[in-house]
Amino acid sequence: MWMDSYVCPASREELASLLKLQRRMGYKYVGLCVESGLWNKDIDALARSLSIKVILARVLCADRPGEAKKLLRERGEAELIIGRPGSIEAYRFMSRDSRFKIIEVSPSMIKHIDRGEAGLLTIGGGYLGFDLKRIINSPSNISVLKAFFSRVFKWSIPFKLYSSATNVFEVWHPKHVYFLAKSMGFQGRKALEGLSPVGMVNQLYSGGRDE
Amino acid sequence: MNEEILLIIVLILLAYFIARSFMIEEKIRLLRENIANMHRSEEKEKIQLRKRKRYVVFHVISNQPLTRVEEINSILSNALRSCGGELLIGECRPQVVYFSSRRSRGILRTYHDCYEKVIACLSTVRCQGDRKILIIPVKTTGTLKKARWYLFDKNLAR
Repeated sequence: MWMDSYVCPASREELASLLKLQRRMGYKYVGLCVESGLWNKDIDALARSLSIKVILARVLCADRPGEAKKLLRERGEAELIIGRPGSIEAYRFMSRDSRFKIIEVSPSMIKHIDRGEAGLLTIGGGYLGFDLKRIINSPSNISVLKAFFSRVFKWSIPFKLYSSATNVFEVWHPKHVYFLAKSMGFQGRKALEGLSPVGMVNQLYSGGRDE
Repeated sequence: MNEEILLIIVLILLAYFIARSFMIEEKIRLLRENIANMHRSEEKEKIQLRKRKRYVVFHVISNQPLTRVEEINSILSNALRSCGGELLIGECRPQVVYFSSRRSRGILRTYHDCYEKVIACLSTVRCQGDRKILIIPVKTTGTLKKARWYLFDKNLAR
């Protein structure tokens, strides 16, 4: 039972084929981007028939805390907010705010994440996130993922990995994540915690993270 | 009387020392055998040049149909070259030994100490020219016979 926190397909056909493939891979929760406007009764029926729970998600990019606040007010119907901070100030704001469930780290931000910054996440109860599409776009970003894993494992930071898939070819099988972590010298099972819905689902539907 | 007692004591001591010397000799013999066995096993390990193989059963999803083993092999070598370079190709020597275009499944052969790296590199491959591709590892086995069995398995989430 896995969770892909964010996918953003271009068309309904793509979304349908993506959901079918993700179900075959063992995903049970999929975060669908609100901006795509693809969520309707047909997709809902398909997701129910596949026993997949679709969560409406939105990515908010902000360089400053004020900008992040403004975007939060306009977030609409999204249940899962992913923050993409452009600066360390925006990161600090997002990590303290409980409305941001996942705070994505970019290659330029990863060097700023230390024990103190990681501790801020416990205030907001959020997760540190990594977009796996970065690795597809440029395999050299594997070093960023390695730095991400070393930080989250060292300081026991809760983390999430998601695909941001626009089509079926960008979906990540859990075994991909497992072997990627193992080839870097980490425990594959620990890396799979990033795809686990445990904690996140409880946080979304009952207001607290289960430990 | 005293002389007899003394003689008995001397005889007992003599018997004790003789028995002890035999025990020490036995111990030395066993120790020599153990050392010889250790040297033999070390030599055997040095002689064992043949590396163990691993067979990875994979499933391919592509927007254009793949029919030939050579196509998969070229995709594979390009993926490994972009991910780990020529060094990784030389170390792992991955080779597609079987590919079924009807089932979109194949078997990849590599060595037991680097199959994880090969699968990790395959996970980064999503396109090859115009062709979009997704390679999903289904199962890793130690024998080709068992790998063939997994070609028919429809489960991707195993």
